Amino acid sequence: MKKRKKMNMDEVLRKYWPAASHEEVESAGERVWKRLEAELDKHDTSLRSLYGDGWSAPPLEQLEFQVLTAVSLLGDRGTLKSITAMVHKWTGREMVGHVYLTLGGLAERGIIALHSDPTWEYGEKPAHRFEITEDGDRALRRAKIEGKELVTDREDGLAPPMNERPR
Amino acid sequence: MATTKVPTIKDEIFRQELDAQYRENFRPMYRAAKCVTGNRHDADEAIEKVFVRFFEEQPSRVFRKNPKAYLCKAAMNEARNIVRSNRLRKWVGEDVSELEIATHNGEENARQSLIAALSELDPNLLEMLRLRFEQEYSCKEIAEELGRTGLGVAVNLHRGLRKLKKLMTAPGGTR
Repeated sequence: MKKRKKMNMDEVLRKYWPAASHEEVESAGERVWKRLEAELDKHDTSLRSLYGDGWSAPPLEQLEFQVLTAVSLLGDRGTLKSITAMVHKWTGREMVGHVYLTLGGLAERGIIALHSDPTWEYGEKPAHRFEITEDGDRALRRAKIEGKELVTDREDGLAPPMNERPR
Repeated sequence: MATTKVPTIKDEIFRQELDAQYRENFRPMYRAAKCVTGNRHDADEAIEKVFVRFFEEQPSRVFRKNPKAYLCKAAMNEARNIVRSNRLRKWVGEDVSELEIATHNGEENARQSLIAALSELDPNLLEMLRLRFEQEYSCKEIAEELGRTGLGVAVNLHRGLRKLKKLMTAPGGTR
């Protein structure tokens, strides 16, 4: 009887290693991508990113969120005065300075756009209008997903109103 | 009238990033998964699971640091889970004695035995074995690829082969 040749581990691995041919890998690539695309359609990934903080939309601080929401709600009526008034309802404080600075910051980041009326004259209705941009809309959607709330109390890190004395 | 929001280019960022990662890393991922599962169907499933996880949760920091390494390891781990759950399903349905794997019972048994044993190995070791026996890299080349020392790779491979042999010859296969 012929004696069976015993293989060492190197030979076993070389012979039976489950390798994949180039053609097999390419066809698998197409196949899996089709399945992934079908799966991708079931998820809303419009604000997601694989990098950075995991979002493709800019983050917003609490006051930025309130100001941006006001800009969005007011549409083409978004002036410093109307925005401040709306934010006041949510925060319970008159904070025109904070709102002004926040609007400046948002405009710098391209989250809102500033429109100036070239025909404006002193005494007419306000010259500057603020409008939300595409990035702003995305930032707002992100903030809503993150669960940010419009109405805030004084634990949001902002200084207390000027007319309130510390006890 | 209800209108649907038209997706903008920025809404497609995730898809584009995913597409880029997929094109760049699918091949090593598939090879890694295939060497664990031994069949293309389960390898496909493993890779799909890795990417689908990105749709549901934020990628980890490890991914951002080194996407290729993360994805290959994730594919191997997912493949290992699939192999294990398949094995468990078999054990539930069949008599355990029927599943004993013996290397001397033909080529298919040897192949199955090797796949079962490979699924038990550490992903790093598996990657070394894959580079050694599939890509036919030398220890030095493996060390360069994985950022280790040549001696370390040689020692790991030696130990890995010993463990593999033990797993393949143990009664009851890999259990």
